[in-house]
This record gives sequence, C-alpha cells and structure tokens, in this order.
Amino acid sequence: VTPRDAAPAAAGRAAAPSAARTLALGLSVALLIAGAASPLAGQGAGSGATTVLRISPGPRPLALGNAFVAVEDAWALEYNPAAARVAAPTVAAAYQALPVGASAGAAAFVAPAGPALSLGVSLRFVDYGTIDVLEPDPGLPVGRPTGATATGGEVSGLVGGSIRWGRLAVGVAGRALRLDVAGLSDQVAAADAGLAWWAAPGLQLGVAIQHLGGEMEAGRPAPLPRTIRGGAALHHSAGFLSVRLVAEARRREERTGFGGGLEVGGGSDGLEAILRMGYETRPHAGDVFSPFVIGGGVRVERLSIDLAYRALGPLAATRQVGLSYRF
Amino acid sequence: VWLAAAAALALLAGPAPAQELQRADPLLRFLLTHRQLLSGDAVAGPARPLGLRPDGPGEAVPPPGWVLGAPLDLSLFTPHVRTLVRLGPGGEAALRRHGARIGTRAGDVVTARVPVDAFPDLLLEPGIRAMEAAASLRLLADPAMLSALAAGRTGEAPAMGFAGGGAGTDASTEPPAVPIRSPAPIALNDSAAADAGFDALRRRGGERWEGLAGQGVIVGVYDSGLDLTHADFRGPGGGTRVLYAWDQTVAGSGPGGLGGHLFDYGAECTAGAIDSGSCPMVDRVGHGTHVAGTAAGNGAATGRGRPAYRFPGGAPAADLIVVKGGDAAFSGDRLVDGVAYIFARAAALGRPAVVNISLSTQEGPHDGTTLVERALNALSGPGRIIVSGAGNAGDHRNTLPPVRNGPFHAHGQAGGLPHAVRVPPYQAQPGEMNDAALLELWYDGADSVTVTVRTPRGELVSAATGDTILALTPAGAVAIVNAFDGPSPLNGDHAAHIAIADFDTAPPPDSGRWEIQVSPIRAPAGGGYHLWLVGSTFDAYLEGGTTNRFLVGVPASADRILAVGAHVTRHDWTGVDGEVEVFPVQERLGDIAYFSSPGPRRDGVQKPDLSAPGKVLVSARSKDATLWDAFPGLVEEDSVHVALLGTSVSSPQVAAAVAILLQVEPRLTPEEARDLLRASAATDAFVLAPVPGPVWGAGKLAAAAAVHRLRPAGLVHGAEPVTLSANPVRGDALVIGYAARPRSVAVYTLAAERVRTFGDGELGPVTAVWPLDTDAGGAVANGAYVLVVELPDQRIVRKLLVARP
Repeated sequence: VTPRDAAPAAAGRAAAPSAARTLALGLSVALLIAGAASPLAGQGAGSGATTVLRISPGPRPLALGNAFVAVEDAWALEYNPAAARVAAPTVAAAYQALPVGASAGAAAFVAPAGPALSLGVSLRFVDYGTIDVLEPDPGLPVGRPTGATATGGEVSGLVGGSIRWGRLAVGVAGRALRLDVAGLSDQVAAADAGLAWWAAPGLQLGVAIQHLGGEMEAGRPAPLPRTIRGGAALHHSAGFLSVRLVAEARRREERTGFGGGLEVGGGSDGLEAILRMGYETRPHAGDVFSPFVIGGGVRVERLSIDLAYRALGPLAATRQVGLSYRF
Repeated sequence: VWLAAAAALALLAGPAPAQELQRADPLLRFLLTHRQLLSGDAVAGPARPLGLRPDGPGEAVPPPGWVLGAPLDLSLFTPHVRTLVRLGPGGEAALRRHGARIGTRAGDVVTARVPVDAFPDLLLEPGIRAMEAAASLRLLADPAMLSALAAGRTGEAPAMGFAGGGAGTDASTEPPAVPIRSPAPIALNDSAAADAGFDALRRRGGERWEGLAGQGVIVGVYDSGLDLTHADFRGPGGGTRVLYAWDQTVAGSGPGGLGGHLFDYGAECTAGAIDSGSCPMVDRVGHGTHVAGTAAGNGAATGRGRPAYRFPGGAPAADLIVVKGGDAAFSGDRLVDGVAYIFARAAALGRPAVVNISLSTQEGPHDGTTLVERALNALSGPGRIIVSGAGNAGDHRNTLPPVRNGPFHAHGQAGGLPHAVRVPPYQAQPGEMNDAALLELWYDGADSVTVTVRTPRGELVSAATGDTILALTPAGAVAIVNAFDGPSPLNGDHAAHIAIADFDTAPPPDSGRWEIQVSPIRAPAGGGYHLWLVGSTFDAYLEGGTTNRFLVGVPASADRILAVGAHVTRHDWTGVDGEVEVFPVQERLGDIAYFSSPGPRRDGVQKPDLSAPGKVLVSARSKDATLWDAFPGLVEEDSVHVALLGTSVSSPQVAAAVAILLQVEPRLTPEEARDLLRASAATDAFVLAPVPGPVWGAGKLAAAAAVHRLRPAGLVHGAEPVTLSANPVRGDALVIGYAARPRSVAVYTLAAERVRTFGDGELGPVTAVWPLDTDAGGAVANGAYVLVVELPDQRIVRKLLVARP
C-alpha cells in the first residue's frame, strides 16, 4: 500500500482549523497520553504477555518507527482500527526474522464495506523456534541436557471495523490470542478501540488504546501489554513526488516512547519507488534495538514489495519483507 | 569444670593411684578411685561430700541450665562410664570381653560405655592405648556472656544495656530492660550475609533459593536441639527440611546400627515423623535453633507483619540433620556419636555433609590430641567436613566501654616470675564444691617442675612432678595433681591440675590473689609451660605472664576441624517492640569480637583458620527457649528471630560456606576446604599482619571468593562458556553460570527491549541468579526471551523459554 493510495481517503474533506493549530492539538494529545499512567500496565518490559503484540506486523510500519496510529493502511488495523481504511480492498503479508532463531509472520485484509464503513482482519504468529531442553540438577545449578527439544509460539487473530462520520472515524477490533510455551498454553480475548480525525487537508490524527482484555494464563497469569498511542500523519503530494511525515507517542508497561518517520515516494501511477526512514525512542536506556530504521519498497501497478531493516545491538538485526496487493 | 575440679580433689582424697591409671585421663582416674561411689544405691550418699546432686541413675535428661553451677549429671557414669578409647591391636575385642558397648568407630578411637567394675582389668589390656572420660563441653554463645555484660562486671564498664542494672545485678532474676535506644536504621538483610559473601552466590525466587545455596548438601548441627516447627526449616511446600533428627537426651527408639556404628540410645525421627508432629525434639535453650538458622535457615519465618526472608542462613537450600546432645551439658563421646551419625546418614543418602559444632571446652592440652579430636579427625574426610567455633575466651580489650574477658592463659619458664589467679569479691554459694576455680598446666614430658600455690593469706601448697597434694587451708582448699602417674597417654606431655574450692572443711576460696609459682626440678626440654584458667564460678582471671593467645578450645583445635573466630558486623537490631536495640559493648564494625578465642595451638599449629561475623547475628528463635525471657531485648521485631553473639554464630556461617563448596565439589576434603577458605579470606585494616595470624587466622570469611577459587572457570566442565540451570525455566529463578566473570548479563524480549540487567553486585563469582523479575520489579510473563552474557572475550546469546506452571 503506497502513500498515494491512502491519500485520497482524506483529500478534500478538510475544514476550518488551521493546520498548525490542529497539529499543536494533536501533539498535546500525544504528550498527554505519553505522560499518563497506562491503566493496568505491567511492570516493565517483559511483564506483559506475548511477543506478537510488541513487534511490527509489516515492513512499512516498522520502517516508519511504528508511528502508525494515524496512517491509513491495511496494517493500521494492528495500531488503530479507526485508521484501517483503504480506497480498495487490500491484502498484505509479511515475514520477519527475529533473534535467536525466532520468526514472525503476518497477513491482513482490509476492504471498504460502504461509503462509511471499512472492515478488516489480521492474522499474525510468532514462532519461538526450538531449544534443547535442560533439566534441573538437584545439586549444582547446571541443567542437564535431556536430548529433547521444546518449542513455543503465539498466534493472534484480529477482526475490526471503522465507521466514519465526516472527518471523524471510530474503530473497534476484537482479538483472539493464543500462547504456547513448552507445553503450557492459554488463549485470551482482547479488544482495541481508536479514533481517527482528518483534521486538515493532508493531516490526520489518531488515538488508540489496545489490548484491553483478560490475562494470559499459560502457567502464571500475565497481563497483555496494554498500550495507549496517539499521533499524527502529514501527507503531501506534488507531481511525481509524495512525502509523508508521521509521529506518535505511546505508553506501554510504564514506559513512554515516541516514534516518527519519513516516507518519500517517487514515480508514476504504474511504478513507484519508496524510501522510508524511521526513528523510535528507546523508552529504557537498556533497550538495545536501534532507534533508527530504514526501509523501502517498490510498487508495480497494484502490487507492492516492502522491506525494512533494524539493528538490534547484541541481538543482531531484524529484517522484514512484505507484499501487498490492492484489488 | 565441676567435674574436673571434683576429680582433682577427689583424687587426693581417695585411694592411692594404681599402675593401671597411666592409660586414663584425670577424670577417669577420679572415677576409678571412686568407683564404689558410682554404683547402685551408693550414688546419692557418697556424692554429697562432693557437692554433687545426682538426678538418679540411668539416662536422665539433664535439667536446663548451664555447665557452671549446674547440677552434675551422674547418669554419665552409672552404671556405665562413657569413654573414648584409643585402641591398639585386639583392643576392640578386649572392650567386648569386658562388657563394654561400642558406639562409634572412628579410626583407632571408639566411643564406649564401659562398666565401672571392668576398668581395673580393662586398663591392663595391651590393646587399650588410652582412655578418656567423656569431657563436658559448653555452648559458645551462652547467656553467661550476656549475664556478665548485663551485670556490668567488666572493669570500668558502667551499667550495661541488657539488664538495666549496675554491677552485681542478677540478670537471671531481674528481667532486663534495654536502656539504649538509637534512631539508626537497620538493614533489611542481615549484614552478615553480605559481609561473608553469601549474597553474591544465591538469590531467592518466591519461596525457593536458587544459585549456590547448599542444594543437595546436608548441614548437620550438633547442638541443643531444634525448634522443628520453625518456618525457617520448612521447604516451599511446607514440609520439613530436616531429614533426620536424633535426640540423644530422651528415651525412645535410637537410630540403631548405622554405617558400622551403633547408636542404641535416644530417639530418632524421620522427616515424616517431624511433619506429623510426633518428634519429641525441642530446643529449650534456643542455641541450636539459632545456630541451625545461621547455617541453613531459609528465612521464611516471620511475624507481627514484618516481611519474611530478612534473616536467611548461609545455605538456605541445604537439607538438615540435627542431633540434640543436651540442653546445657554436652559430652565428648556423644558429640562423636552425633557427628558419626550425621555422616552415616548422609552417606546412606549419597550426599556430602558438613557438621557444625558450636561447643567447646578449654580443658585439655590445646594441641589437638584429645581422643575427641582424634575421633573427629578420623570421621572427617572427602565430603565429610566439620566446623567449630574457636571459643569465646579471647580478651581483646577493643570495646567501648572497656570489657575484660580474661586473661585465661599465661606462659612462662620454670623458675620465672609467678602468676596469680585473681579472685574478685563474690557471693559464696551455700554448700560445698560450688565455689571453685580450675587451672591446667601443660609442660614437656621430659621436664619436672614444682607447682606452688600461695593463698591470699600466705599459706604455701606445693607438688612436684609425680606428686599430689590436697591442703584445706583457711583461705580455701587447694589441690594440685602434678602428673602424678606420668606423662599423658595422649601426647606424652605432663599435665598439672590445680583446683581451689570450698571442699570438705575448707571455706570458700578467699577473694584476692592466689599466686602460682612453677619452679624447675630438672628441665632438659627447657622448662617452658602453658597455664590455663579453664573455668571458675566467680569470674576469676589470671595475672602475670598472661597472653591473649593459645585459647582455641576443644574440638576446634583438632587438625581436620575448621576453627572459626568471630568479628563484628552489627551492633543493633529492631527489637520486638519496634525500637532499635543497640548492643552496648561495641567494637568498631569490622573488628574482631572482643571474645573471639585466639590461637595458635600449644604446638604452634595455626588456629583459628579464619573469622566470620559473630557479633551480633539475628537468626531463628526457638519457641521453647526460655533464655529470651531473661533477655527480651534480643528478640527481633518479628518475634521469631533473635539476636545472639559468639563464635557459636560465626562457626555456622563457615559451615554454610563449606556446604556451598560441597555443593560445587561433593568430594572436597577438610584440608581442601580449609585451604580454599584460608586462601580466599578477606583482609582489611582490621586484619593485622601477619596473615595467617593468631587472632584472625587467614582473615574474614569470603564465601563467594572461595567458590571462585574452587572453580575459577565456573561450574561447568568442558567448553561451554555459559550454563543455565534449566531451560525451559519452570522454577522461580534461573541460574546463569559462566566460565569467567562477565562484563554484563542482561535479558531481553524478542523485540530487543531490555527486561532485566544484572548489577555488579548480582554477578557472583561463578553464577548470577535471575529470579524472573524485571528491572521495574514485576514478574516476567511466560514466553520467550533472549539472554545475553558479555564475557571478557566473547558474547554469548541464548534463547530462554520461561514456562512456570
């Protein structure tokens, strides 16, 4: 999905407030969210269950610093269901290599269901890979290899919709989440809700709260990593060039983070090359993912291929590749 | 002390010695010369002149109390005499022929109960090399110390904190107050754990201790019993951590034959019996419970709304085997039986064991040659290690206010200046043989000397080598038994026993200066000697030629036993009323405790081996103990822990360190453990050169450093640079082992968010323990994580699955 595809949804509906005033309002909301205590938050990274809710579903949001709460896109369903709006049915899929042999994948489909309604579905997984089992020794604290292996993983299914009144859209989504780890498993339901506001021509604001639901009880109960996010997306096209600027603040597990990104596309209707650069703060000084992300893509007619790369310090790097097709 | 003093006096009042006595120690000689007093109905009558109050024949339980001034338990001697016997060829058969019942076999020494009437013939048997009556030992953290402080007896010391009374206050009858209050904060964790290096080795995750916490090792405690209901000795499931408990003091079903030994007395309990509440063992003194808690309590007990786990022991995940040897009086033969029993039970379980002995006596040659020590040496070996407190006879004079705790030792050359026993003013007790002091003089077996006692009124009483004398003077009775039957069968040296007492028609000993002169008769070996005041009922001390040396007692002076001194790591704790209690007699924090017995042994062997925190330690409180009734200020705020001091409480920390070393290397020998602990001991400005030295030994216990010295490349064998205790992690903690101390250890999510970073203080010498928490203090969720260990020369990245049920 290219920025040029998403842009028309907001075009021509701008009204009174000045762009600067609206931007200031949006940033204020974002800062308010960032400073607020996240309800039901866990205590630090890792205290909330699941990895699948911590990683980017596709290369485009990853390359834009995960500042996706106000971006209209099929992947937006995973950030803000209100923003999951596209001009035509769109399907997307992605694969990501994670550290230590783990991997993740995702697929999303979003389609308009009328002049005001848009519906979408997203499926994701994380495969932990395998480990060689070490059984505890009753004496020394050195595990004994048993020759067996253990594995685990997560699966998430999300269904949501967005309905729009004028410049405002409201979205809700329901998620089913399952976790398996070394023989323990559980599933839990959760909900997301969000707002999108087309504040001015080319300017879109979004706010969402995510992962409201019970606790994952695969063994010890753990809360989902509830997240509040708010941000803005500014888009401008001029001739063959398209520029999109995104920014977002988020709070999760008592950590506040900011993200932003720049997307520049150039080309014709049938062929376009896109470059993306993202920045994402590390909420904790000990986080080792690089704050800088780079990515790019090529759109050929209705098909887009996107890539993203992020260094992960001592955990090497992650690479994500995705495809999307607009019907 | 009572028994020895009675022996010395009665030897002189009784029949002349016979040739057979040359193989018996002085206590046995007393029994043999007075054996007609110790059988049948004659017990109560003949005992009276000696001031003894027998509780009756058989295996009576000694009444609560303390060695000094406590009634003598004649059950030790009727109808059998409890002894240790060093055997030659045919010795065991000879014992059997004469009706002796053999308990422990420890090398060439056995514990044996010998019929009194069998002694004359038995001692003529060629297979009997030496016999030693069961010596009496005392606790090394006893209320006598507290009482002394409370009574303000220590020279210039004003009224002391625990009693609220000044000099002469009877702390046993006047419940003490704690007048000194301080707003000083108190650390949550007992300061000793960090000082001794245990905190770097283990970490608690929930109710479980992970890392090096003594898992798989047995900590044996020979002491005054254990409060089996105390939560510090219960595991995460609520079951007892005590695998076996043997109460030697009650009638019941003893362990029986075990490991080639025979333990046919007392009552043994299994863990099942303990959990069912049917085990009779109680700790009426509280000493054993405190000691066991210091060694292996897990700190789980609490009360009065205070958090748990503030006072864990050094090896909180070890299992325990406990032997109760008495309430106040302990005997050497049963000590040997108890240690043999613990090692035998551990061997049957296939587990290594360390035994703590917080008991001691100053009686003996101070060279490690007593039969108790010989037996304990023989019981020690790979995976079987004994630790003991050095003793509380030190006199370091390093406190404010000043405290006198001796001197109890003097050294000299025959013909040199005299020494003296200073008897302070005291209140004499009604009756006989209850106001006394006993001294021992040891000198080379080639020398002959004359020992002369000059009373405060000027009377002279003398005995040459080979002589004995009893003089009933107006100043009190004086008895000198000067190697009257030749050199000691233990070491070939001469021993002289000197007693002053209220014996027979003599009055209680005068207060004042009792001068002791040692004069040479012939001294081919040089005439050097050592004099010990081994006990008194009136706080006597020595003057002239005194030293603060050679005071490591039995059994800590044994070759293979690790002897432990004590240093100071805290002065205060929160009392049961929530107020901060302050121990009134204070050394500088980090300095040697004023009472810690210094070495070396009389033969020059270095003792103690090292020091550990011993003043003041907070540990488990027995609910059955009455000691705290007199010293309520010692009870900690949670009411289930209590403060105590002494080498009794430093010794179990070294025992815990040995347990951890045994966890790493189950076949470790006593010598290897000693070398490791000595080589790794910490030194600072207080630990004066030379090191090792007579006061500190090699320095301060550093458990983590000892582990690192044992396994400088970590816990793993082979090329694996990083090990995990389990994966998936199903317990409450993960132990990360490494071959070299890492620069950093951290855990991340798969999204590279940091979950947990380990601070320097959390990186032990060979392991770090992750209690599955986050940097923010929360618990991590089950799932997948990435562990990154930055070793000096490489980075190790491991995938972890956390799957706690």
